[in-house]
Amino acid sequence: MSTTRRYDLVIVGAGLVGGLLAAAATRRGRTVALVEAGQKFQFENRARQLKHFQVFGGALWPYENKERDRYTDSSVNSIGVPYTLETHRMKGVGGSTLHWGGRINRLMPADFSSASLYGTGMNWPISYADLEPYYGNAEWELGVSGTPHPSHPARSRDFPNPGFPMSIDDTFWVPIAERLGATVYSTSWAINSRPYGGRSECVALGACKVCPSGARYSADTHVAEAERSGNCDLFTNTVARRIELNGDRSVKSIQVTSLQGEDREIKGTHYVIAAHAVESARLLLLSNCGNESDQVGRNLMEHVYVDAGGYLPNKRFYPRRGGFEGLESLSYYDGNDRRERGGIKLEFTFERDPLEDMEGRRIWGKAMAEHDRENFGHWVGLGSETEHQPNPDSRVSLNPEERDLFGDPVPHIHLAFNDVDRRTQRRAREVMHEFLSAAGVKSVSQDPLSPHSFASHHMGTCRMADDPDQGVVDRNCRVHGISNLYVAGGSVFPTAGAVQPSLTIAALALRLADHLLA
Amino acid sequence: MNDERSRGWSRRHIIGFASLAAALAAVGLQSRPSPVRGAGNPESDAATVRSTLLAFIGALFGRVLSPLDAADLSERLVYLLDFNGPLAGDCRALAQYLDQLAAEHGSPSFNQCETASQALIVDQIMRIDVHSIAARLLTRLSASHRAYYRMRWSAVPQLAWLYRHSPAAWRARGYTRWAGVAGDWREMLHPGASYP
Repeated sequence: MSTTRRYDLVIVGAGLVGGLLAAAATRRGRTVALVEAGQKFQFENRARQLKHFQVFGGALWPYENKERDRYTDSSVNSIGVPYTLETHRMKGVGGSTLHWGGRINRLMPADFSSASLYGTGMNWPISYADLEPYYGNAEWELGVSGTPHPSHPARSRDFPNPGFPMSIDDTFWVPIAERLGATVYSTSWAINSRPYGGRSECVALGACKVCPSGARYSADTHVAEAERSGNCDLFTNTVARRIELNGDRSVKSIQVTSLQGEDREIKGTHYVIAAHAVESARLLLLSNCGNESDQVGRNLMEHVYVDAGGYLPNKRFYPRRGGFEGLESLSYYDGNDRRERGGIKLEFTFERDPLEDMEGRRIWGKAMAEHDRENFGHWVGLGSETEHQPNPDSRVSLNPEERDLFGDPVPHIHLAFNDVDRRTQRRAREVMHEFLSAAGVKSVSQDPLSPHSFASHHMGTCRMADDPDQGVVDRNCRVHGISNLYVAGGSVFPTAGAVQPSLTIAALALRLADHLLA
Repeated sequence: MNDERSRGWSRRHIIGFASLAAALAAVGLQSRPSPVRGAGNPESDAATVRSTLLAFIGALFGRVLSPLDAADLSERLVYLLDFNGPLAGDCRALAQYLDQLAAEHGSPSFNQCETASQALIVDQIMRIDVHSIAARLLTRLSASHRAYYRMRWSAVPQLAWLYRHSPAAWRARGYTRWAGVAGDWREMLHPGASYP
């Protein structure tokens, strides 16, 4: 079955990129087809998601359709711990912004030229200066609450919302950081510090995994805006399965199938694949598109989150009253040893729950109650977002043995780290140990690499490069060799940096919108 | 010949393994629970399971639960038991086993046990070693052992999570607000409550 309508823009994926692109296009009077594998969740559904999280410890969203989402990974073999993809992403209108943290940062200017500066990673074909205006626009689209700080890269536009100040707990770290020659700053959040964009200010539900108030940005708001224009057709529960090409190497259509089994062909002028770094690569591989140089799926990057902490018996903190913690440091992002390791961003936390020590310390009953009384509110900890270097062996490929609901090969995830990654993680542990020792922690505990050590940031599988032999898309996100096919999202990042990728994803989406819709 | 040797080792290995498995099974069969299926009204059974699990949660964390705590936890238990079939099965097996152990302490059910007896039973449950070789073997050999060990590594951690994220855990710490209850984010600018 073919839709009779021909769209200006066909977008695969109704997440952050899809939402921003669809809204930008419809604001300019263009027509959009938005294809989403997952469903559209009503806002009221969030209360149920919250309850599910509180009972089971994970959002329900990613598990709505197990038949559709069976995936394998080989990371146990490559890095020693399993990597369960479904806990790290989200299919549905809004994508992973439905259950993200909302912590938001710009990449550092050096991240765009790490090969030239440090001999690691690779250079982006665009610079920070090229992207800077779009970073500002993205902050206004998402409603970022932030406070400018000298640690941040240069900006040409103010934050739309005032930043959340340091909590009383956060202030503990300020003098310690000063003693160590580091600076800390209040985190920027895509969470409203005041009503903005038709959404309320944060009401401190302390339930940030779900955000039932809507104060935290989620991309379904932009999808809804596009739909309201009357120029956007949203196809939910519809999986893009193939990209069909014409003889002249332009895209003819996207072949999709609904979960009910209805096939459809969607046609447009431009096509944007924004289905998350794993699925975007998978769709290109399934369609044999853009892979002439065997780059599709390679260089899969994820931020490894290394953490450490300990108890301070004589100091009392008051965790989990705002729902989110708000202190970071970029002092160890660069440095004299940056040629030897990747970027590191520090985050500070007070949230370790002594009740979680039950299994590790083998205490229960009255002893557990006493342990909680003695230790609750005395934990100080740090986490480090660490850079993962582009690595051709770290990749998404098609699994020849497992098929999805429609009979297509599922993606096979293979994460790989190199020596630079290991040195980055080691350096992060050293830095955190210095902080904790300076804070007076006598016994520092450092969590080993585990299935919980990942930040759910997937990047790099369709990376951007001017040279078609080095990447999948050009500087405008157009797939090399195909005139009207684009890829957008974290998948086009040549390097990962060590900050949350969402703002860069959003900025690249807005830049692509200007390119396509000018 | 290498081939001969490897076949010999293999045979001995199999015999040894079978003997070990049989011995472990014999030991395990003595210690395994024999879950009893309730034959009464399903709704009253569900209520019984919930009250047993509530008492277990209280004993696990060394707490006497207030009626408010019990109501909050009970609501979450209903969701847990209704939503996830396999996990609900593990929780029911745990409840049945707790009541069986309570009977050995002369009590009709776990939630009617003396506090000291509850503590002993919790200790017994928590000391089940799910990582031992015996546990791994027996889990593969019999469904009842599988249920026995799942009760420890599946149901207990899940109930612990449920408690940690419930109002009951935070009330005990002097908090008057917890995840899911709206407030003002500016609270974080000031000290909070002391541990009662």
